Amino acid sequence: MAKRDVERSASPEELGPLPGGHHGLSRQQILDSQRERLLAAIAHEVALHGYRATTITGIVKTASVSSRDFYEHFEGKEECFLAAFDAVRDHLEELVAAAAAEEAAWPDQVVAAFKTALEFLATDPDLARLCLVEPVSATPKTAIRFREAVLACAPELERGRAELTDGSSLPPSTEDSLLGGVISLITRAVLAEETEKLPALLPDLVDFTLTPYLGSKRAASLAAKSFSD
Amino acid sequence: MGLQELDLSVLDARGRACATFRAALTDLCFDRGFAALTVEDVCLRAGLGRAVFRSLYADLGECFLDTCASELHRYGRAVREARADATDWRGRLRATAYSLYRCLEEDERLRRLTVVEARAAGEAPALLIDAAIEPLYDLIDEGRAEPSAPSTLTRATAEFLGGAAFNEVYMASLRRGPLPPEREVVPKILYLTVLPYVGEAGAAEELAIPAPSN
Repeated sequence: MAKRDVERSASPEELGPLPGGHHGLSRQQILDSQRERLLAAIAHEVALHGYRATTITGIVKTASVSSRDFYEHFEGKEECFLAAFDAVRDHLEELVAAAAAEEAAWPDQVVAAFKTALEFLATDPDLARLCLVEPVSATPKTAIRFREAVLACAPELERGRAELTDGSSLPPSTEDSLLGGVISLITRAVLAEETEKLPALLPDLVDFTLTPYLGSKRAASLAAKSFSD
Repeated sequence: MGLQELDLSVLDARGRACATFRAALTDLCFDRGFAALTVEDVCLRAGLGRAVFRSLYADLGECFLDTCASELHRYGRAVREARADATDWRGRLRATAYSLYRCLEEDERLRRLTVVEARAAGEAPALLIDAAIEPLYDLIDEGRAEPSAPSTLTRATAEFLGGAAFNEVYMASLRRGPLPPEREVVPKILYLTVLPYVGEAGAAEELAIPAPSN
């Protein structure tokens, strides 16, 4: 999915077909446009109907692309879904990395990363659902892809172990558990159709995630600061 | 429990048929995933007719719900028995965590059904699982009554921690094969769960407390 489509998934009326006749577009430009529209369409359709009830007929209709063109891009619904998921994940990773890079200290980087991710997801319920709710239950392959995407964040949290003092240590794979908690809390808000309220979760996420590394006092202080910022 | 290991001698005809369908559905969900199944598949695996299935269930979703509910009932019974002797919050938390993990460890097929497939099988099973998890959040939330618990903690703390524990099991269940040994998972979950309420020193005790025997 192109960046402009990822930033806010397109609505069906924005996904009109390319003009007919001599539009002056190259074959590659046409293919790129079709692919973008198919990815935006599956995000929209899955948010409306859920993965299982989403059909290729519905996707191509929303994308204003023929079924034949769909199969030129994807083998089926699962491949199309995975491509959309990957596109959103890549874009989110870029946004989060850029936000974190503006902070020097690890705790501030974590706060910036959470803030950016929550704000991104809050702007588009369809993409939030595509990222967090549907991949878990769509197919075994999408669930594995989701799991890999979540666990890929663990090394960034592990850097917090350098903040531990007094010779204390954390149990192995604490980060996997913390990420599970983060995902769980965000997903509950998305399922409750309160996506627009996601940024309000920032202080809680900061507090819960940083407490094991910084202690409850310092984590609570950063959580309060993130709220006032 | 798979179809092969089922002891049906103690049940009446209706109970036997339900148990056979539940076992068949569990096997098939594990092999193919719920989304790929039809009533015919389940009847064929169960060795029972479609008419028998229809006399018991409106559709495949209802059979799935029955299978899930039956397993959750077993988890609930095991937890109640395990924490009968626990007197304090941390004792009840510990007994709950170990007994649940042991239930989940027992049978990979049923674990996959309740932890993974239930999320993909429609709204009713998802609601059933949510309802089963809610008391766990309640139990964690009781930590706010601990003398050392900061007043800033909220119900969201318990939801985060419960979600973290559930996701740990969910992520492990996505892989085929046994769960990691309980000593690698449960003490860590307990450590993280009590940490916000009792602080670092109290939480570290959870890493050293031996697992209960029952």
